[in-house]
Amino acid sequence: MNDIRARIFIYSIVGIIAGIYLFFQGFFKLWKKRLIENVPTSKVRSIAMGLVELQGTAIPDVLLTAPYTKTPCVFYHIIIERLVRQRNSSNWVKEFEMKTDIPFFIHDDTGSVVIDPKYADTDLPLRFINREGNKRYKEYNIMEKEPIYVLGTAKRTDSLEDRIHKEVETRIREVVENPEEKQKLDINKDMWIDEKEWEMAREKIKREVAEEFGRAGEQFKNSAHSVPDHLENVIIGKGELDKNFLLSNKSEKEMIEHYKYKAFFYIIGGALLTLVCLKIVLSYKF
Amino acid sequence: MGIIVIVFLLFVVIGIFLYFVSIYNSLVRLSRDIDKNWSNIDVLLKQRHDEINKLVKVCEGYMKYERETLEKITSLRTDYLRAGSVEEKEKIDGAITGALKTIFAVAENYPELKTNNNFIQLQTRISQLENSIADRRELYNDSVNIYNIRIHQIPEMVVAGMLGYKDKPLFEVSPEERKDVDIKFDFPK
Repeated sequence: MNDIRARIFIYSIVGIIAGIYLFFQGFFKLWKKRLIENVPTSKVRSIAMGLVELQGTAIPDVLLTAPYTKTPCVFYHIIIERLVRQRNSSNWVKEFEMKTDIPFFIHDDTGSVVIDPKYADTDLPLRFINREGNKRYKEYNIMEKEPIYVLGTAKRTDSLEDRIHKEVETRIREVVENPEEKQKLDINKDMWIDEKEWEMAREKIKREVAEEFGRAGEQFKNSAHSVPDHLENVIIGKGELDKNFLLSNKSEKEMIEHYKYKAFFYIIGGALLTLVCLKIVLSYKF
Repeated sequence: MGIIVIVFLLFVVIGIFLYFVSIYNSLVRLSRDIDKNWSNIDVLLKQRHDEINKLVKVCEGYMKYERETLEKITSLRTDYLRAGSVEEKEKIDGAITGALKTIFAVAENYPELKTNNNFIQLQTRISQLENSIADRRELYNDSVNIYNIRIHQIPEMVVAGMLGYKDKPLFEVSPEERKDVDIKFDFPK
C-alpha cells in the first residue's frame, strides 16, 4: 500500500513537471501557428534567400523505396520501438530511428527547387504500424508526386568548383592521415614522398573527384525538373539563423488547424495536469 | 486549496502575458517582413535596370529612329536610382515597365535587331525578371494584406494600437503599365 502511495506521489511530481512543460510547449505551438499564417506562400521562380514558404508536389532526385510499405517515395522516416516491461507497467521505448537525408524537388507551376530534408521537423501521416513480438515498427513517408508544404530557409550552396575543391582537400587530408594510403604515393619506393609525387597524387585525386561530381551532376541535370537557372545552387533547408524548417504533406490551412488545436490542448491540458497533480501532492500525508 | 487557486491564477496571468507576447512578436515580424519583401522587389528591379542598360546599347545601333523612346527609358532608369521613397520608386518603375513594352513592340519592325543574339538573350532575361518581379509584388501584397487584417482583428488591434501600427498601402499597377503599347514610328521625312 505504501508502495502504491509512494508511486502515486512520484508520478504526481512528474505530472507537475510534465504539465508545466506542456503548458509552455503549447505557446511554442501557438507561435509556430502564427509563423505559418504570417509567412505568405512564394512561387519557386521568385524565391528570395531567407525564410520561405512553398507548396507544390514532391519530385524525386533519387526515387526511394520505403522499407516497410515498399511504396516509391522521396522521403521516409522509420521508428523501431521495443516493449520494456516493468513490475506493473510496460512502455514502448524507441530503439532505432532514421530519417532519409536524400534531397528531392518541390515543384509548383513556375518551376522546381531542391529540398534538403536533413533536420526537418516533419508532420507526416503514419503509413505503417506493425508489431512483431516485443518490437513495433512504424513508417512515415512522402510519396512521389504527393502535395507537400515546406517552410524553410532558401540558401545558396557552394558552386560545383568549390565543392570539388573541398572534396579534394578532404581526400588529401585522409591520405595524409592514413600511413598505408600515404605509402602508396611513394612511387619510386625511396621511403620519401617528394614534391613531384605529391603533385601526381593531387592531380589523380582531382581527376577522380571531378569525374564523380561530373557523373552526379549529369544525373542531377537529367532528373532536375525545370529548376530555373538562377536556382541551380539554391536549396531549401534548415537555416543557420532562422532554424524553422517544417515539412508536411498537409496543406497550409491544415497545418494551421493542426497547430491551433495542439496549442489549445497543450496549454489547457498542461495547466490542468499541473493543478490535478499538485492537488494530489498537497493532499499526500507523510 | 489556497495554493491551488494561486497556481491557477499564476497560469492565467502567465498565459495572458505569453499570449500578448506572441501577438507582439508576430506583428513586429509581419511589419519587418513587409519591408523585406519590398527590398526583395528592389533587388530584382536593380537587376532589370542593369539589363536595360545593355538593352539600350544593343538597340541603339539598330533602332536609329527610336531615339526618343531609348532616351526616355535611360532617363527613367536614372530617376529610379535617385528616387527616395517607396511611392516614388513604384511610380517610376511603372513608367519603365511601360517603356520596355514599347521597345519590345517596336523591335518587331527591325528584323535585324530581332535576330540579334544579344537582343534575344536580353529580351528573355528581362522577361524572366518581369515574371519574378510580378511574383514578388504579389508576395508583397499578400504580406501587406495579412498585416492589414491582423492589426484590425481582436485582440491584435490592442497591441497594434500600442505600437502605433497603421494600414500599409498595397502595391498598385501604375496607369502606364495598364496602358496599351503606343507605337510611334519616328521615321525621317
